[in-house]
Amino acid sequence: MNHFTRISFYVFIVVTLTSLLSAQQSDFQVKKNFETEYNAIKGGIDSSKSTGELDTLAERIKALERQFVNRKNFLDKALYPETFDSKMENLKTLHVLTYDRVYLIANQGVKIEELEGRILLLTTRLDTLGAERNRLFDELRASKKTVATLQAAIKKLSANLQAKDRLLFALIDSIFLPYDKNLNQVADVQKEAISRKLQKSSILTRIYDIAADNVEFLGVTQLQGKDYASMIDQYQQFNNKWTGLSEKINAVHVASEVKTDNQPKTGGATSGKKAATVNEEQPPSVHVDSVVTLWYTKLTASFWSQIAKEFSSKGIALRPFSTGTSFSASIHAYVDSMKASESDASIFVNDVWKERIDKDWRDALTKETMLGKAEYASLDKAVSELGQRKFDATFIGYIIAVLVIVLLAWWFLKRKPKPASASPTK
Amino acid sequence: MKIPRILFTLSLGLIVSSCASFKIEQVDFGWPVEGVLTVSNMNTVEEVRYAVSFIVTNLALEEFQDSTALRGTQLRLLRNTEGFYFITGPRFKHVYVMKQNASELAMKSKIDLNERVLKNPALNQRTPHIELVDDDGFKVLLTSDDIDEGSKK
Repeated sequence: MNHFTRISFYVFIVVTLTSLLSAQQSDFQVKKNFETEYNAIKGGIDSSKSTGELDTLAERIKALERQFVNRKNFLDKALYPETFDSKMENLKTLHVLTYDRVYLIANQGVKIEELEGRILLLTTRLDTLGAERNRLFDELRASKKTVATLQAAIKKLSANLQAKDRLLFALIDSIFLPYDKNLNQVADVQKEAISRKLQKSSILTRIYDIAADNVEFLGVTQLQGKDYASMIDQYQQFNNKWTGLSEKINAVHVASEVKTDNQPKTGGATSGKKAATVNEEQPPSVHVDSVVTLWYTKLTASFWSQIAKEFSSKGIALRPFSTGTSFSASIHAYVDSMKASESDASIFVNDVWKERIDKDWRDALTKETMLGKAEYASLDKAVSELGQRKFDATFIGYIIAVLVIVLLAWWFLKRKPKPASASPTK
Repeated sequence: MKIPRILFTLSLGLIVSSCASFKIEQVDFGWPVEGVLTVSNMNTVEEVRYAVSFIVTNLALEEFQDSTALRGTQLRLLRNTEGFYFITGPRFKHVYVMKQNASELAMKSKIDLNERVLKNPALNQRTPHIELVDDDGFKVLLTSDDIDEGSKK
């Protein structure tokens, strides 16, 4: 008996014995064995951390299928309402999804370490900016400086807030980056890890503080017309980023059921002064939502009241306005009234509209959230026509006056003095 | 007068017979896999999938002459295609075939395993039989009345 024949013989014996034993097996035991191995593989997939482990599990899935495919009809009944095929399909799908996730994490391992370092650096820089912000706010509140120095402090503070804003969202991107595209497929364990990172870096507190700082900034400063365009942009960018981020934070929060006891309620690592009442039943983003809304409200209120002052300081009484629509209606009403009364509108047109609004406020007014380009163009046209009308009337007056003078001159020249009475004929 | 009376009686008989209960035949009551049921301290078992539960006191008395003998043990329960319940377990010398009545299981037959004491039995559905397997390669096919003689080893 050669080596190959001997091996074949042993294989035959083993297969025969296995068949006999399986023939003796109870159906209940078949079902139980299938379920035990199925659950073991599933548990292995759930806890796997490397593609190597998953490769081994893929072999076990194939072996499970091979082992029980002959009992498929029985298992279809015994596993009701599931079937043998559906169970195997579930296992394979889970394996593929987990493989993709583990592969992604394994290949981004180095990147994640880099990002961890970056998160630490950004957190430190944010804290430094926080200290600077406090000093700048104190300067503004003191109000003992010259106007020029105050303007410089405002600029610095505004730049500080924007820098914090950029840094914070860079920090958040760093936390979410490895999972960003696959957040729905991220396991609960990883969502908890993200949630811990968010808490450790006091993300929600920092976001809340930035929005609250901007609200405070609007309260302590008198912004100029040209400042508002960048303030509106800053708000828009912040709001857009926050909208995207809050969905992710809420998803992570729901999945991990992490309590937010140390979030905006306590103030966290920075200022800690803007306490908000936390209702743990609400998503953690609710408090930031409310301060962002307050930011927008204050920004728009300040914006429209400053514009109103431009008119009132020149003695022009417009109908009150607080939105783009009401501002537009107010201007149109004023223009109409000026046309109807044929009053002198030169102060309104030249001193206010052309010198102040068009020069300093146009950039901000043409933002779609305020008035919009089309509506601004419409107002500008209406105001310009009012100026044009005044110009035309004056011009025609001049022409008429000149014509009258010319006619009078002609009449005087034409009217030759009567010759003296003829001398008696000699 | 006789003919109309006969006709009337025949008609009445036809009507009554047509109103009698009807049957649904060739029903398959068989379970694909046995239930392995642990006897509780209250001497009860419950098969969750098929929603069957009963007290095993009388079964314990019948097999072991001890009403508490089955507490904590596992019983094997399987219903064949005819609708009879087959019950057995470790240390049993019999398989009990039970018939379902209103709120009761009545013994249809008590299959003697020829003094064999089951160690680790299992029941399998092998239509039209029930297969009883045990350690040491023991395997017999059962009908609702007895061991199928052809399957004896």
